[in-house]
Amino acid sequence: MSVQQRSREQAMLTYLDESGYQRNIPLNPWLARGALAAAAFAAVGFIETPAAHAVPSYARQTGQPCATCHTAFPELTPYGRQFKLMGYTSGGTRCNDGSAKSDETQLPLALMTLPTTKTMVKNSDNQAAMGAAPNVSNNAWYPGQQSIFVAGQLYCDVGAFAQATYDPVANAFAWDNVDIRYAKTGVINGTSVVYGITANNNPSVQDVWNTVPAWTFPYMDTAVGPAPANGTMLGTSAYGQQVGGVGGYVWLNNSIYIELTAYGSLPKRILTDWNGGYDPAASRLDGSAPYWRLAYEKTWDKNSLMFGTFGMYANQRTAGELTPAGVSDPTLNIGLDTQYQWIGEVHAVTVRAAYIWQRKKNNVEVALSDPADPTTIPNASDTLNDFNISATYIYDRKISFTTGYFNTWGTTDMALYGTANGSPDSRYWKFDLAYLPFMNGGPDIWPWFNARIGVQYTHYDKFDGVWNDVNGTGLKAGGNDTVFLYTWLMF
Amino acid sequence: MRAGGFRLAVQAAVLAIFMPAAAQASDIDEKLGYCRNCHGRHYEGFIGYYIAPRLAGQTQVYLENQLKAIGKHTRDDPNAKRFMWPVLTHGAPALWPRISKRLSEMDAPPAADGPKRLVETGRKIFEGGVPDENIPACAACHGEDGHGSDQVPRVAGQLYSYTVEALNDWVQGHRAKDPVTPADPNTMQPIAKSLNKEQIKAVAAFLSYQK
Amino acid sequence: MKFFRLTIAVLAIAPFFAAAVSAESHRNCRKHPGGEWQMDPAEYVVRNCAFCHGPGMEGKAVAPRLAGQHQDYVVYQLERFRDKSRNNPFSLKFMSHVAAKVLPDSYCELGAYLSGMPTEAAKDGNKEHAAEGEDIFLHGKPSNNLPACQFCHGPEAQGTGKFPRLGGQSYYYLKRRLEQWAEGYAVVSPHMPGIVGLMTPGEIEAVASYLSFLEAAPSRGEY
Repeated sequence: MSVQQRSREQAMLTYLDESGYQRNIPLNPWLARGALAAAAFAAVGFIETPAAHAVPSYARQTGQPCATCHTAFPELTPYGRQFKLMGYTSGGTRCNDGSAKSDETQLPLALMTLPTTKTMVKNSDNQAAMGAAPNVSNNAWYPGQQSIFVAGQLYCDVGAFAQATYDPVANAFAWDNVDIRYAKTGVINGTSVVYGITANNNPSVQDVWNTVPAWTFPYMDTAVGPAPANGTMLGTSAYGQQVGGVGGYVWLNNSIYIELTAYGSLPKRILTDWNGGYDPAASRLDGSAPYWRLAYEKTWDKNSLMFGTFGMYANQRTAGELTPAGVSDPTLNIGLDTQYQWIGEVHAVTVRAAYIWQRKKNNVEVALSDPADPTTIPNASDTLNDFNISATYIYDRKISFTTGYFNTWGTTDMALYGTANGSPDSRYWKFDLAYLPFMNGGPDIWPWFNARIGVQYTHYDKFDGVWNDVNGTGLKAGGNDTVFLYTWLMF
Repeated sequence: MRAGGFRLAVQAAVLAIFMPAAAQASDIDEKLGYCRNCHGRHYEGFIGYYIAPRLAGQTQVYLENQLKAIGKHTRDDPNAKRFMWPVLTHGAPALWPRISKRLSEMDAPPAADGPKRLVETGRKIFEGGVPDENIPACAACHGEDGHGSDQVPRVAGQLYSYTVEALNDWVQGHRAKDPVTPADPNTMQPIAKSLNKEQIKAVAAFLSYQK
Repeated sequence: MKFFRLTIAVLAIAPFFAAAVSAESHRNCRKHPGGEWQMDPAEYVVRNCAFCHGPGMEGKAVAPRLAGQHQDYVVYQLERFRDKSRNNPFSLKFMSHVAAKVLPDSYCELGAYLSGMPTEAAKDGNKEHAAEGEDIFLHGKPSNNLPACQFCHGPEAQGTGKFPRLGGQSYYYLKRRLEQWAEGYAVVSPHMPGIVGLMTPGEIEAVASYLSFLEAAPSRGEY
């Protein structure tokens, strides 16, 4: 299944979750829930929005080692944030404005591969989830995604971070995160200013702090194996690669960030060609959905501290083309985030936290429900919350240890959420230990080579609403505990 | 045996002569180390934002007189005021004769930093004065080689910009209480005032190359 | 006999020429005043330096303010980054790679451009210690044989030529640089390690604080 299909599944799942409209037949509630759960379980395993990360073409362009812009990729330093805000063009030579420093032309291309990964789910009875990926089984090595990037200065003040990914498990190739920007930098009335335009396909991918959904920990996770079914619209990157957005931003005095972007669902033709397919039942935006972001960052010596807010308002047509005309789910997401970094000569520490609040009116699901069967009728509206906090310690930019805590909770809605008790709640911990030998420079034959070799452990306290009897299996949530091994290489 | 005894006596005598000197030397070494920061590694002078003159090979009497004048604040040119007055608040006057002696025994290559095109003009003024304007030859007091003697300072090899600054200090009325000799504190002032800007530069340029 | 004397003369003088040639590793910007480098320094600086040093070269995180810095000092430091003689960890991590990419024939014009950029004081030091810092900066500490900083760096820390402008520089950067000399990192500046050796940590902190509050003062000369 392709990356886009993953998202589509999730959208479909969202649709399934939120509407309870699975087969257009009011089923026996338990059967319905079980089927929903199984489908959710299978499908959400593929939800991964593969984030992507220390890009060697940026290193070639700037002449800097990866460690200048990243603590442990993909986490950004203040310099990495500045590089992105300035449009990915720093160090580029493709411009006749007198800024080029050499006749060398660098191609803004890079490659990423996860040649081997392994996922082990604690309770092998949960193997059923991984059966959805026929060529992958519990505790077996299998190849992860392969990506190609166009990343760097395209021309003058236009730069890109554009990723296309081949997913061997799903055997599909499609576009991934794309952010193309035009940015200008200068000093106006004594104030440093960077301002620009971003065109991107995933709300929050254009952001520069590792607190937002597109870029937060975990940076890489298993594409097979259990994952909670529910989360906020922004928190789950529900519309990643499904939408196109254009926005403007300013970065004032190295400390104040203001952005406003508008997103709209992409037409069928584009999704078919670039997203590897078009699912008529996938949730779509009705009209344009504004996304905003405000942040204040103070940087002093080796420290940086950011406080910010972000949000999005969307009218979701959650049943896709099957949504009745003129009906949509007004959904508001408001997020608060904060990040603190201390980056020394040898040690580095980052602490991140983000909270997203969602209020959604379930007009579509109510409209599609069977008035005769109350078990299919969702609440008029629901609230959902996503909270995560994580902390990373990095030694010499080479050994990274991260601990993360994730909590989703919200109003119970039996008909909307495909969970045993109608609760969307999940709570888990994630630990990641990674070795990055080339952050300060790769081997002589290919100095821009970088690698992240890691092991990640996820422990579930609560999974899809329950502590026990997860997915109707009679098992504890902890039975979904997962170990994920990955080798992540960048060229 | 006799030879051994004689040798021993010689050694003892040598030690007696040099040991106290060695003990004394360490305390002025510390002060001389302090001077280096501004006056140059080899006391050849140094230019930072301000100018510190060459001290190497300066006459002992002149150095002592300047230290006294600075200490009493009678030497009042702006840089002396800004730097040397605070420095000498923690000076130990007892050390000044030995510091001056040590500096007078040093040597360093000349600064050689003046504009070369002015050197010939400067030589003429230094050696022959400017008779038309009643300016005496500098060499008459400072010596043909510019090395001075006693209270008349050495000017040979001095930093070009220091010589210019020093002459201008007198033009501007500083160092008017300079006790060159107790009887005649203002020897240099009338001379400096008689020279015009070009002449000052020429003399300074010439002197910067003199060994 | 004539040739013999000539040969001796040449052999005697040759080492001085060799020394002179290698000493030219410090680029003499008066001999190469510009016009060699075809780039626009304003665009160049924004494209290549601003993502670390800030859009107005005002400094960012551990990267120092370069706006208003003297040409000779900038040129000298670029050369020291290039040959890695400036060997403290951050210089090696960030600047040695940069210096390898920047063309030497651009150094003089870059330095001239930077020296003309407007600047504002960082003001990130400790105000309570600034007065003590001012006293040390202007008068040194004669009781401890510490020379006055202003002798080389100017009465308002504006610097001149190879002596960097310190006024308005970030407290954190100045403090770290002084500490690096105390820690024994390379003697790129022959004067500073000995001077810092005479300062206590409190005095370093006071001087760095004082300097961070000094607004830009005009410097002598064009650059």
